[in-house]
Amino acid sequence: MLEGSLKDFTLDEVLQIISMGEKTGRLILKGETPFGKKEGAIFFERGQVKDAETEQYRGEPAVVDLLSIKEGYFKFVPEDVSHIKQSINKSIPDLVLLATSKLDEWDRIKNKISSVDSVFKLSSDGIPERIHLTPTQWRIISLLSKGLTIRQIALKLNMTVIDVSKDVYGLVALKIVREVGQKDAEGKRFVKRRGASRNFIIRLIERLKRV
Amino acid sequence: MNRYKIVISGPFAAGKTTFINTVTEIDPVNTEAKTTHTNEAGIKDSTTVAMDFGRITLDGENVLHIFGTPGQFRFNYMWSILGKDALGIIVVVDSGEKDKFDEARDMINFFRVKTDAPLVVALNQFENKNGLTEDEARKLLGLPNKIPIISCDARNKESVKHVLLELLRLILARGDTY
Ligand SMILES: Nc1nc2c(ncn2[C@@H]2O[C@H](COP(=O)(O)OP(=O)(O)O)[C@@H](O)[C@H]2O)c(=O)[nH]1
Ligand SMILES: [Mg+2]
Repeated sequence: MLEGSLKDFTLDEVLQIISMGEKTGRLILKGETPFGKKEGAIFFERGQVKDAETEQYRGEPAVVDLLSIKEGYFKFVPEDVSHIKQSINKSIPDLVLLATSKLDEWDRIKNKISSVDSVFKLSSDGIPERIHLTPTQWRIISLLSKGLTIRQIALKLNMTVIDVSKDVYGLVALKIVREVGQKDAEGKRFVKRRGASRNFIIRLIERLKRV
Repeated sequence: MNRYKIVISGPFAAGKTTFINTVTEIDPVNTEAKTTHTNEAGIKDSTTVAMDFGRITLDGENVLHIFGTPGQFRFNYMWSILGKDALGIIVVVDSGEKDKFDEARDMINFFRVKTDAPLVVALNQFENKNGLTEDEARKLLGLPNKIPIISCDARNKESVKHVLLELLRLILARGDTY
């Protein structure tokens, strides 16, 4: 049995474990999606999705709903599913993609930049010489390098967070900026970094040396 | 709870599973007993899920997860997700399987494009095969100098540790840490 919070494992990682391990059983999911609270189960046979159900749906729409869960709880119970009718014939990656495309553009962008409270840093390689950037992108780069979040920049430039996010995502894809952490919603306290703490890595190195 | 992730990738039979099993603290003999209580990561584990997954716990607050990439899902969505917030990537290559080098090169490039996590190549030396040296493999993989390539024996703890330490040093040197 595998059980925990989606804070500790992402849903994609849970799916990977089940699929790689060619597991048979029921994955129970419960949590928040952009479309409200969802609860249900996905049935797996030898690592492949066989069927799914939520309060509302059965089959593919149920999987799509369940795969949209971002925060919540999961539990995988190995059990016989031979009595369950096969209602789904798509691979896990295809189902994950379906779920993703159901989220609207805003959600897709949000996934790419992780948060509108993210803080970015100019990459050490600098800006490629012959790249063409719009005046707005240049302004955004300058504000990002001062440590402003997407939310703060949107306020400052009188743009929507969606538009700023799109530009920032473009800059990330071009490797001009890199996300380094997040601030809280008031834009004050630094609450999370994507990189690890230096202290953690140093202690891990010490720990490994001793093993 | 801070959970960090390292991804182990590479062609089929390169030694990924062996590599992870050599370094993980999850003892397959003990996992059954562990299912009754929640461990430090808040996860209940057992032999049924101990696949290509490893763990090194530093303390109650900090844990390193090690994920292997599945061979059958080549270059797809799952791989991007796995790589996305990884601290670093290790690509394991069998030094004696020259046929697999093209595939390994594609994998390395995939991670270089999709993530900005530091990457090292672990050149697994199977003693009964006449494997390539680090320099020969670097050439064949078209690997830039800034990516380390390290000979190793995936079954040997010291050797696997050495690769992990190289990766951790690279992470520190990149200055992404705070
Ligand atoms: N002699 C030798 N055998 C190894 C080494 N690493 C892995 N193997 C063996 O090679 C086979 C494939 O390794 P595995 O870890 O399953 O590869 P994976 O497909 O990349 O996960 C297994 O039978 C391992 O025991 C090594 O360094 N030396
Ligand atoms: Mg394997």
